[in-house]
Amino acid sequence: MIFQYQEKPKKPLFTALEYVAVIVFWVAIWFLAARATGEELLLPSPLAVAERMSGLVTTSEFWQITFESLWRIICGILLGVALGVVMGFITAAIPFLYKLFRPLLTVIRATPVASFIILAIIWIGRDSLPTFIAALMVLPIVWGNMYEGINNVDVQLLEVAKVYNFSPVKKIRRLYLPHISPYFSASLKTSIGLAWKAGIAAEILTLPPISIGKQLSDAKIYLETTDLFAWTLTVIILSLLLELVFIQGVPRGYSLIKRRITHRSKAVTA
Amino acid sequence: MTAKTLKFENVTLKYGKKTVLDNLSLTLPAGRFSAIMGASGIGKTSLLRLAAGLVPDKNFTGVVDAGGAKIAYQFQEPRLFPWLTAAENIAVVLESKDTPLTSAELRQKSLELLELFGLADVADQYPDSLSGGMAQRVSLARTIAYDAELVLLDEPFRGLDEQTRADVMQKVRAALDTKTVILVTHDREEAEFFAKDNIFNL
Repeated sequence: MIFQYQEKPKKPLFTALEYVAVIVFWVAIWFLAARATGEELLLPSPLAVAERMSGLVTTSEFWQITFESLWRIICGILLGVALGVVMGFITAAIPFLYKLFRPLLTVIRATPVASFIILAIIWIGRDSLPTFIAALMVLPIVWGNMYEGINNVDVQLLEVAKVYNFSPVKKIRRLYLPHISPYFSASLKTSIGLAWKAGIAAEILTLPPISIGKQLSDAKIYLETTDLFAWTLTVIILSLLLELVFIQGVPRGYSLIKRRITHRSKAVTA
Repeated sequence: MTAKTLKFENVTLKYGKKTVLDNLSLTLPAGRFSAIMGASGIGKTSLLRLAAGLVPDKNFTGVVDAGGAKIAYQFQEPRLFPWLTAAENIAVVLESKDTPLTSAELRQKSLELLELFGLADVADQYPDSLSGGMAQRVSLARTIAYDAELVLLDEPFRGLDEQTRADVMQKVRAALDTKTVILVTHDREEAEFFAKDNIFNL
């Protein structure tokens, strides 16, 4: 008898062809709208934006600017994730601390990003502000989800672990981590796009000399609508890439660190 | 390994205002099957939970003494880990720091136990793709897999069809032959099959 491990196949919503078709459709709408407007300043055509884009990507400044912005915001995301995970664990372990920190979480969630940016300019200065803002976007979401995940661990399975004398390490590895990982992925999914956009917004207000935010701001000042579109497109593409790296990467990384209990040998004769 | 006696001395258990067990004293003999019978809600499951150390001290008075035995507990529900396959659900109780097994050995042992209950071909399936009866049997295989001195079985054959049930009962009896086993059941026939002279009515 042959045993074979089968991953549950997940049917994608779009086929590749449908995906391309949908994109072509909306670009066509954009194209027509630009023609109808007939004014580069209000709505540049996709062709003009593409031309500007292709001009930009050949310059070393483009890559330097993009890299600096990415670096700032990724640092913020990582900081927010790290703090969120730690705080999630601590507040789940000590209910008193949860009660203490809960209002803070609520306040962070409810405060408009702009208020934070303005406050933070006063508090911590311009340089690390986008990083701080990105971290602040990620922190409460990761924290909240980790807390919820840990608290929702199945009591019945905890009893199984207790009866069968699981060590604390085994309990974490076999029970808590697999249980929490979907909560963790979900929190990244909601927070990364948010952090990226809020980070760029922070750049627009603080204008670090080498940043996407500065480019967007310049485009506004000099009425370079085509530039505005080109940089916005850059932000969108990077947002998608970030999500791809963090969200696709996380479960994969998790299954790599999760050692299987038993070998799934290709064929076992029973 | 020596089988352990399970003793309850003057145990009173309350959930809120409701008294579940009232000054119960009971000694269940070592190395053989005992059956606990009685109407629903009379505290049969509570007795097992007490023995397994799952009831907080503040909730009961009296002494529950399992002699520090290693315990295996077949809960009423299968309680399988949803992220582990059938084979891994068994392996998870076999892995231990004292007697480390290689993952190939763990796999082998798990497969043997699954095969015992006719489940070899679902070894690599996850619990959500198993029928209720199959999950119950995987869970029983896990209970048997664990090297316990005291085995607690809470209506372990519920949800199995007639044919499977007879077969599984035979195998469970053979596998746990020399251990202290406490079987909670509603079924008189089942009680007699396992513990003819050792049936306690709560």
